[in-house]
Amino acid sequence: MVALNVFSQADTDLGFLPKVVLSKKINEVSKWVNSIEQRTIFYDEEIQFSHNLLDISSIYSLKISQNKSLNFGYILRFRESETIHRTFQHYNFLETYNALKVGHRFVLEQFYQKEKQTKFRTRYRVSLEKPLNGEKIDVKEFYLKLGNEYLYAFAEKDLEIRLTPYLGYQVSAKDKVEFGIDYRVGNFLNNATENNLWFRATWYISLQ
Amino acid sequence: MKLKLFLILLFLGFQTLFSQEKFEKEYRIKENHAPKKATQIIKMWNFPKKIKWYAEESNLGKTFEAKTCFRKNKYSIEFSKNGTILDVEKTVKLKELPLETQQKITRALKNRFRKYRLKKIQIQYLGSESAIYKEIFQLKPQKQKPIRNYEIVVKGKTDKTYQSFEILLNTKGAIEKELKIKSGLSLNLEF
Repeated sequence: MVALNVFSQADTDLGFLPKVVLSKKINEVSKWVNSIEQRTIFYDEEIQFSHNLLDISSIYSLKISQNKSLNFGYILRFRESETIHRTFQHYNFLETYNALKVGHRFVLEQFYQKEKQTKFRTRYRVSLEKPLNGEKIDVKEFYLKLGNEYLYAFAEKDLEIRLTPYLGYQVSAKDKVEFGIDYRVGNFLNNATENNLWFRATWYISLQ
Repeated sequence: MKLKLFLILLFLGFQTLFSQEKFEKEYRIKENHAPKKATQIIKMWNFPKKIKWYAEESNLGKTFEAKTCFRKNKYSIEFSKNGTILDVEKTVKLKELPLETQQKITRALKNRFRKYRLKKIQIQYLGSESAIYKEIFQLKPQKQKPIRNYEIVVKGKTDKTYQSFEILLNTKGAIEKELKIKSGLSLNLEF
């Protein structure tokens, strides 16, 4: 109750974000990645339990070198009665320092919606991954993943910052699960801070 | 006929040498799960810094490793299941090696790859327990010197794409073993 009182001081949402990411290898340098993500809100001004949105995405991923890739994707978002189309382009690269993997992702996004102007957003994310056992993640081992992302919306001239600590588990050679928190601070530059705290669960599946 | 057989065997050997993929599962263990003989050796050697114990399952079977820092270098001491010392690996930078060795390593990698980037160099010492201890940790030159190899992790370009390799070079600069390391990009760091 105390926690909810604290949250009620600012514009704060709490919720659950389950996601499944399914990747299928096309050839040595490309893969097709599909995902589905749902959002359920637990708290938005009052305690509730409401379905908020559904994202369905499809991405073509092209490996341009051993540790770099370009991804081209599309997300279809259903939010209440709205349908939002989004296209995006990623540039990813990965650095490895002994047991630590550092992934960088640069993104350009375009949002399309009926009777609304096309919106643009750019974002950068750095993710650190470290096995909790030994120097690399093996099957049936846990790992930590920490992410920090910065998103800038051009129309709103607004910055959003995300912090994402996750605990991961390599279930088999082909799949892993991650659980954690996705904490988002929005409207950072406009002084009307919005806090979002999502509990995340992601299942990554790689098919050969 | 003999020549044919020889050529086939040579080809097969070449294939084994150059197309194996590195498989290694390493996980942290408690000291009391390592072979007793191995823990006794490490206690006897009395390293000033903390010792971390690991078990390693690889293409060659299960082994145990004690890792520590000594005189600003990382050391990994590998033991068999019965606690016999297999090798000692010392992580170094290329510049720390004698100039002649640096040249041999550079030449070998230039011959093997169109372009390359060094990721890690370890000096591998093979020999008896006492020779290794006296030569490496007490810095007392031994008559029967431990055998020295260089285990190098390198990202190299052979055709069009880069690939990571673990290469074992002898002191003459010849490649003794080469293993491909599975590539790094992973789904959960991209999406």
